[in-house]
Amino acid sequence: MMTYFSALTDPNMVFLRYALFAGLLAAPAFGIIGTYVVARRMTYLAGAIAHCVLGGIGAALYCQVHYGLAWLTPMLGAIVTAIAAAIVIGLVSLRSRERVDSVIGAIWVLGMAAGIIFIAKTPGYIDPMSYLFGNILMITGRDLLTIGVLDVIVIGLGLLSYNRMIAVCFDEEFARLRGIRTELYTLLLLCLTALTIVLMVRVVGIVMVIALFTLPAATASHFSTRIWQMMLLATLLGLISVGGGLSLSYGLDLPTGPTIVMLAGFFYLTVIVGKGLKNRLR
Amino acid sequence: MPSDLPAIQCEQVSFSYGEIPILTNVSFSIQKLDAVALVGPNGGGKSTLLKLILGLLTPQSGTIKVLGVSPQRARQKIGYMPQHLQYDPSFPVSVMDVVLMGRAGSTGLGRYSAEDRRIAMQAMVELAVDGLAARPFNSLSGGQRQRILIARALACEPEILLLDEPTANVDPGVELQFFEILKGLANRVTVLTVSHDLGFVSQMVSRVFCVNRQVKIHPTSELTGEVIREMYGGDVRMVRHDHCCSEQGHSHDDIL
Repeated sequence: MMTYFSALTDPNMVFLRYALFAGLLAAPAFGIIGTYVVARRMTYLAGAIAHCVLGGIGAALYCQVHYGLAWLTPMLGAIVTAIAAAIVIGLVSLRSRERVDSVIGAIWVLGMAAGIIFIAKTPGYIDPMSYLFGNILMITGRDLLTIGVLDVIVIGLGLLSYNRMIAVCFDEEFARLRGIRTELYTLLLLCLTALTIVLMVRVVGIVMVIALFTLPAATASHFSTRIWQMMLLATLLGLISVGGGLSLSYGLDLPTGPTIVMLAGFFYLTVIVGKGLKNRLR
Repeated sequence: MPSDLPAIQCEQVSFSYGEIPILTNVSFSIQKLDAVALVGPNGGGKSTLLKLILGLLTPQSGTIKVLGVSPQRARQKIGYMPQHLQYDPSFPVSVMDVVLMGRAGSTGLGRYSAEDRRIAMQAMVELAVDGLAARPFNSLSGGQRQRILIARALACEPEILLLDEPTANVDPGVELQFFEILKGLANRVTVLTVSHDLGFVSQMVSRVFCVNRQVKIHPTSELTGEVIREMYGGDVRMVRHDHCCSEQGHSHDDIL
């Protein structure tokens, strides 16, 4: 453990520090937006958005190399695609007469497939694995700045819309009757979800990012009677999962993203099993 | 706007889900401070009628005016208690949070003011559930939840109250108290309530609408204890299809 803390201050291990900062910055956003997503039962939509992000990352890498658009970073590609996916998925789920889950499944897969094709057609060695499952070595100081800005936007909007978001999540029909533009709030929530996903794509990757959404919030829901309690507890669990996972992965030489997710999953399963046993003993 | 406008006016309203007609040529008018009960078989169109009045559904033909304007524009003045909440039992909200939702959308950014809280609290006092304010909503009994949802509707400060089966989960022990509360409300706002339990509501309403694709109006002043089984089976006991209705009522020949 001591070596982990000394590694954090080691100038040669700057990526470790960046990863920790990224995780700590992202935890409140995951706690707040994750709570809405879990309470609204939108995990599946969040999963689709996350997987679509690969398409944007791939397209950005492709354009950087083929058209020399250096400014079009994978991070920017991820942000644009995530927002676009959120709006499309939102409109589909609000308006489509098609079966919603089929359409969303299609968007999910097409986004990923496009990403893999773009990456395959981009010269130079790019490992899709590092985008799918995260790679803390790729985090740059600029990424951290972007994460910070997105974080402020997500947390700010997430908290400002608190009362109305709860009203919409709890009883959409009633909220609509009270004059709340519920479709707008649903789209807002999906867009905030999209931005939150982008925050942690670097660290845990697009496949597992959804775990950071649902696991802390779902664990927290077992101990919360109010939404804000759930947010607070989910944030705390997120911080512990990221901090603990990072140090474990460093100490045991394990891949970082999976270790963080395993820790979050461990808390969740422990709570469920613990509750189950408690109920059985009574 | 003249104050003698009817609270709810339906003219020749028809509604169908696809090919299935739910309501056909429904016309009626409800004056302010009138209290009306909707009865009728399941699938007869009671909830559909409420949703039309709320503007959640649009009729294929005919017009509905609520307080003289379209249902969408009048929405803010309607308090609605749904029969079923699309409700996630693990959703962590307190009773106060739920009642405050009656105030949601009334202010700019969605913050609740002290005034909002006072109105919500007053609604809870009126329904004798103020003691539950801090409790988690999911820890309540069905009857308690029902009252909280009425309190939420009341927190909208409505001119019209639409209640969908308010007596469905009420425990027999508190039924009388509940009845007194509803009766008190009927003095203040226009109440339209869906109920299976006509014996219960007939004492607080002045007219009963039988909804079964069409709407037949029965003044409760002419109700007798006679059983009408032709439409409702044993479910509803206290309406007699009277062929000499008062001016508020009608002759069935008009509709059939």
